[in-house]
Amino acid sequence: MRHAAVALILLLLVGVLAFFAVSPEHGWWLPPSASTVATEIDGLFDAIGIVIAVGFVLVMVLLAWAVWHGAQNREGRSRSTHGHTGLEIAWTAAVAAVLVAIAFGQLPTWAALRDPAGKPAGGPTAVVVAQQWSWRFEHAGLDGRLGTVDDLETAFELVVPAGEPVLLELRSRDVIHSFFVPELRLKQDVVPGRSAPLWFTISEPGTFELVCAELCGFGHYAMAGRVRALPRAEYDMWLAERARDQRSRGSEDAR
Amino acid sequence: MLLALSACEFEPSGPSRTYSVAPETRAAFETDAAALVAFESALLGAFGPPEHPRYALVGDWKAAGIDPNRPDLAPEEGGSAEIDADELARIRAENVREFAPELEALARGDFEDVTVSARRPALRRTWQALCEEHARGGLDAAMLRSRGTALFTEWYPALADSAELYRVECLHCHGVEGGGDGPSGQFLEPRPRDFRHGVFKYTALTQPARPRRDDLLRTLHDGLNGTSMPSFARLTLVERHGLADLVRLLSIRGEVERRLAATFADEGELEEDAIASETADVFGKWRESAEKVVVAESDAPLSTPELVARGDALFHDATKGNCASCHGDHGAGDGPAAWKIGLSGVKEPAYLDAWGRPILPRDLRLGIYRGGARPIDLYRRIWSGIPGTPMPALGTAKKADGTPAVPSADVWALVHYVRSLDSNAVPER
Repeated sequence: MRHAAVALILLLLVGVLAFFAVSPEHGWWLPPSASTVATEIDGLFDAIGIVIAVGFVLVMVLLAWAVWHGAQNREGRSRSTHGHTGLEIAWTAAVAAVLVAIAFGQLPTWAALRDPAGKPAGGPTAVVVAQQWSWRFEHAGLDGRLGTVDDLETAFELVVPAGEPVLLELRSRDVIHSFFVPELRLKQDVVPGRSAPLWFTISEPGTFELVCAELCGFGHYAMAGRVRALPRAEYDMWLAERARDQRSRGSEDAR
Repeated sequence: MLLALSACEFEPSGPSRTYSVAPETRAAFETDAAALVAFESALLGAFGPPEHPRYALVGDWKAAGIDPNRPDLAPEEGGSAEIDADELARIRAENVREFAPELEALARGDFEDVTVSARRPALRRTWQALCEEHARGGLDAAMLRSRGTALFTEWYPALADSAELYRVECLHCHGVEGGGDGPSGQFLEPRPRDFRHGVFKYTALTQPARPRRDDLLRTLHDGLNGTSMPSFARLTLVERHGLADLVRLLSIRGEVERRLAATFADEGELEEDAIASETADVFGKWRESAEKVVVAESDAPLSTPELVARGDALFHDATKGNCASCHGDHGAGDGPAAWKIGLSGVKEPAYLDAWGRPILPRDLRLGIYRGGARPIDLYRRIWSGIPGTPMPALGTAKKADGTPAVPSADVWALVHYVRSLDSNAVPER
């Protein structure tokens, strides 16, 4: 019986570790990271994952040891103890040390994401407007400034330059939404009545899915969008093309 | 081979739906229940049930090379060539991406790996028929491969495919008949569009006009800002084309029903070919719209303080724009003409829209433009008005001597004045 119990515990231990070991190559892992800060975030994720794995192995091995020895002890009585100052100090200090290490270890990443000192200079590249149940974007246009007559409005797709800092301003018209781009490892709640800044640098050109990560009503499932990062030259071409669209007299609609 | 057949043979069974007639139609046929039953069954014959919508009465149109069941095909192939070659090329490029797994399996010859989602029932049936023919020996593997490759690459949704997509994405707001009365629709303000009037607010056209395919596609791609109509850009281009086809069918079906209900209320009977002739008439109106696109006389000018000032004057001039009478002195949508004192002595909206609901002028300070935010989009709102609402068409208004009351250049001035009212705009910095 105790053989079976210990085998089950060890099987579970090995199974869980094996699952995580093979997950990344089967695509059961995070999507590829696409922003500069994503690498740091993934590094933190892995580091914390390893700490948790060590704790998990320790607990499972102890459990297996206890089952093995406890089951063997047919005649003996359990020993009743109350308190062990040295042991208590040891495990409290060990856990505290790990938590403090994590807390300080993640500070640079947090700062890269949120420290106003790291906020890109100048105005936002675009304003993101969330509403039930759409994402809309006001791009700064050719002059790079918002609130001027050449601003461009798009639905669904946010277009940004790749390889340079992008500053967004997030707003909501109705309820709380959340701007979530998994590949950029960014998630920011959008609260009505407030504007939230969000900045990042996309390392390579590409197209990334944007979803709403805060249940916002019956159309929440449909509140999808897209972030398209273009190399600077193509981005400028896109802006110029949209600027021409702003001057349109509508003749492209007449065939 | 058995595997191939089992993959092909699954037939999806969705909950069954039936079209019901509008309450007004029911009222018109109140005295004659038998006539209502006959009318409903004639409509069913002409437009099919919700799972298999189709235009059944295209006999006379075929001669003119028109079959709205196949808008993607050229007339010589039995369609009505409503989609140009560039757009078809875009659709095919997207199909190659969308059906990449199926096309790869076909190239390998692994026919049992080709599975078509139940979300595309007509495509599924066609593939199933090909598989069966192959199993009977009527089609060798090379033929099945080439026919299958063409099937997926050149796929354009049949109305039945789009009906299934409509059921999933649109029906819960717009309703089975497109009456804007789906179960979720009642919780929305503004209400979802009722297609059955054939009136669509945001198009690029002089009114009255049924929308063009491109107008419906714009609404599907961009959504309607400030309403609950979201962007459907997450669907593929060809799926949006298919939904535009289905919206047209639902709208034509609804308009034919409304017209004939009115005829029956007046005359107490319907002619034998009433549905066929009304359908041809309404469909003809949809075909005319391509000629009605509003094009400004000049490109959109850049905004200048002078232009905005001129727009300001026109906006408040009762003999020119007269916009302030409804939209208010500051564009807040609080002009005196928009409100009245109701029977109960309470201030209430003065106007109803075409769908019978109270309507107020837009608060222009919000900077939310439902029909699009480009200057030309606002130009068209002002030039053609907004159908179904009290917003008048300034562009077609004429002075006593026949000259335009508000020339094109003045409409641009109004556009820039309206854009300058946007107090929600991000302050310049």
